[in-house]
Amino acid sequence: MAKKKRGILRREKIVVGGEEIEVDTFDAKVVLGSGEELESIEELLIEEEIEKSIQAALKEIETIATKYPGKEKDIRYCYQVGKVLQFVDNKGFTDRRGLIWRRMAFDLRPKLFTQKRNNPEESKRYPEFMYHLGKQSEKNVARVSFDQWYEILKFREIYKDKKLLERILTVCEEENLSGIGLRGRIKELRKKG
Amino acid sequence: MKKREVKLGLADENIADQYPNLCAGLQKDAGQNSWDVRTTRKGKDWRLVFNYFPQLNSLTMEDFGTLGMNAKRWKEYQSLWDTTKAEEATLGARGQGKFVFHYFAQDKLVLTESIDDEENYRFSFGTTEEYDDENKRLEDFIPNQKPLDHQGTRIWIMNLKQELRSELLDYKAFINYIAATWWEIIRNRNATFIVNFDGTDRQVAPPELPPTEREKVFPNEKISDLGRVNKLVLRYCENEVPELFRGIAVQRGGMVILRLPVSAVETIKNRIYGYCTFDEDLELELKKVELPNHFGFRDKRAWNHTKEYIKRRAEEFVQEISPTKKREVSLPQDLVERAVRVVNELVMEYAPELATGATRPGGQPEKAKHRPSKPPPPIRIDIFRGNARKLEYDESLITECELVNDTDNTTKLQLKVEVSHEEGDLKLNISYSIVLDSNKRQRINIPLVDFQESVDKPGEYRATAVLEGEAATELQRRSFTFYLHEEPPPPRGRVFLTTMAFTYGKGTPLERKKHLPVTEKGLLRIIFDHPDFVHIRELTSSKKARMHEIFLYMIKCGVDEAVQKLLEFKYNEGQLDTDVIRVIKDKYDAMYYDAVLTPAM
Repeated sequence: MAKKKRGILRREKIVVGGEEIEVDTFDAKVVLGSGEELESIEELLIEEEIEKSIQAALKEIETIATKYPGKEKDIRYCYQVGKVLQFVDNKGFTDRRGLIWRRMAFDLRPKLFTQKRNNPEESKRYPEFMYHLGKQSEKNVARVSFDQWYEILKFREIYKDKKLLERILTVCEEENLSGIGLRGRIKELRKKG
Repeated sequence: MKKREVKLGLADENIADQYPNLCAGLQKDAGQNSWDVRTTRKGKDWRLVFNYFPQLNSLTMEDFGTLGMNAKRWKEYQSLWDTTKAEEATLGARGQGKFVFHYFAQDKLVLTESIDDEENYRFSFGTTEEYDDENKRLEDFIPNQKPLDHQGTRIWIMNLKQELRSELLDYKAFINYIAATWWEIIRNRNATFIVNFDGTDRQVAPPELPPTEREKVFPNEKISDLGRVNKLVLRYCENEVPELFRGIAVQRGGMVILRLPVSAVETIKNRIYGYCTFDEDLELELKKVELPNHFGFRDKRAWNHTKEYIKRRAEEFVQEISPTKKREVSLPQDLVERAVRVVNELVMEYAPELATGATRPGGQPEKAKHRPSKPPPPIRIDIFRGNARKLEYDESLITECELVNDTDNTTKLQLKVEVSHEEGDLKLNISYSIVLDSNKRQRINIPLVDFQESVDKPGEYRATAVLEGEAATELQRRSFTFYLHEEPPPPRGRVFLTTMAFTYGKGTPLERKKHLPVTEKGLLRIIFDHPDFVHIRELTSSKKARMHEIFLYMIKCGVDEAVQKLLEFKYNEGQLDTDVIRVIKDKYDAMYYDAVLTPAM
């Protein structure tokens, strides 16, 4: 069976009376006669619920941002925001988080995530990093730098192996590695199991 | 065989979703459970008391003049979906009404006490998932509370949910719900309902309705082989009838199951109310197809025939009281199909030229699209359509048919209607001789066609109507197709609307618009945060109801847009005069009305 397309609100440009305007539009569309009208309305309501959650999360993040003026690459800021971003799990939107990050960091408040104006795909990276960081213990977060965490979390769900994570954090602390060097070390540690 | 594991934790929420109005549903279930076990047939000394205890934040429903629960009834009450009861004429349908009681309780806790005719006292406490009737007493939950001391039953809904409490404790609304549901037994059997939500006992009185200007009582009539309608009473009042009482109350077991709206212009329909009662046979047949929430019936044979009877009688009544003859428009039952048709048919019927935007799969080729439409013949079959594109066994085909004579001469006509399977089996073959006056419209009451699994083949059926003039010359032929027990293919041909999209308008130039004009590709963009749309979504308490309202709103936007385009079109063609505007407005009202009356999804 074909997988159902999951959507979200997106910013798009439409032409009304010859004039181009930017509006937020739902991905869900009701195609009359398709036989899936009710499912489409159900999807519409889910997308609305996601949008409400996004707006609420952005409000919280804006409050956090006032406490961290130089927020880019501030690991504590990222951690606090990451905590807020856990709403995707709590509300059952985990499988749409890519779309949610795009909506938050590209359409709505890019500056809360990075100062650079990215393209829609790249805009997801920071929130995704923050989201995973928000799953760590506060104590661990403080142990290593932003750049080191950024490298660590490039390895998908590596943190779920608590022992491995502990070894990686210890290596970071002791050897002060970052970038390619750190990635190489992490690969070694993973092989050792 | 292993027993399946059943998780009932959310059963009350799922069931609550089926209720269009939970507070009305609560009194309906309580009343039905209690009235069904009255000690005498006429309900002597029967009483049901709703009491709110603020210190406990709990609601009790206590009945008098009832049998109470003996061991058998107690077991049935504690069971779930006891379908054996559905076959009995007097008992509840599915044993699921009590889930609504649990739904109102914050922790889903409901206490039940009952005393039967042998003075056995029974007590249970429970949630949707479990119950216990052995290990605790009422005093363990409510210290110093005296147990029930008379034959009957008392149910305690403990710790009412905060979000439902204020709505529930609006005693005026609650009394109105009771009066609207139970008026028949309150008036005819002196049944007593007491509501005490603020320390004062208030007895529910029969509803006070405006004085009747005209009344019609239809005599006892047989409905197919199902049973008889005992009485159908229709009243046209001097003033508007309160909203809760408008329409024709369909009575079963002393309660109103639903009120069938009357198809008429606003000023007339708001002044009509009535009721319909049945003999035991038809009541039993209707009970079998009644929705478990007691708010309606499934579209099965018994209800289709009954509804059609009531609708036709109501139409006659409306015709009699209407200053001008109303042009009736009713559309198929199925909501989605109806919705799609509502918009597209309006366009196809009045201005097929508008439907040039999009083509369905299998639609006409490009060159055929811009063919000028032929004017309709002056003597014609104006409406010929079925109630659904797909029917199941035990459902009925309801065919709507109207003839029009736009000439200045009275004409003798012959109408032949046939319904047949694609392989040729004839299901209906009927002829009518009609004398149609000049400039008149006439509805033809085509009999309902029932389908049975043992007799009728599944697959494609075609209904054809042939209109012949005096010398047996064929004036017009119309047909429609429907499918029995088989999925129909997607609709074909040109359509006005194909897709609806949703956009936020706030902070943009679209802020004050409800929707944008339909595009060439048939896309209608609806403004999602328009206050009207937001209001509609917020009004609904359940997801199901919300979806229904959203759908209706969409259709209304579609109809609005179609009418706008139609007016523009007629204006550009130089055809727009007051008569045309009036015709368009009538059709528009009827479509709008019909969309609003669509049964909940």
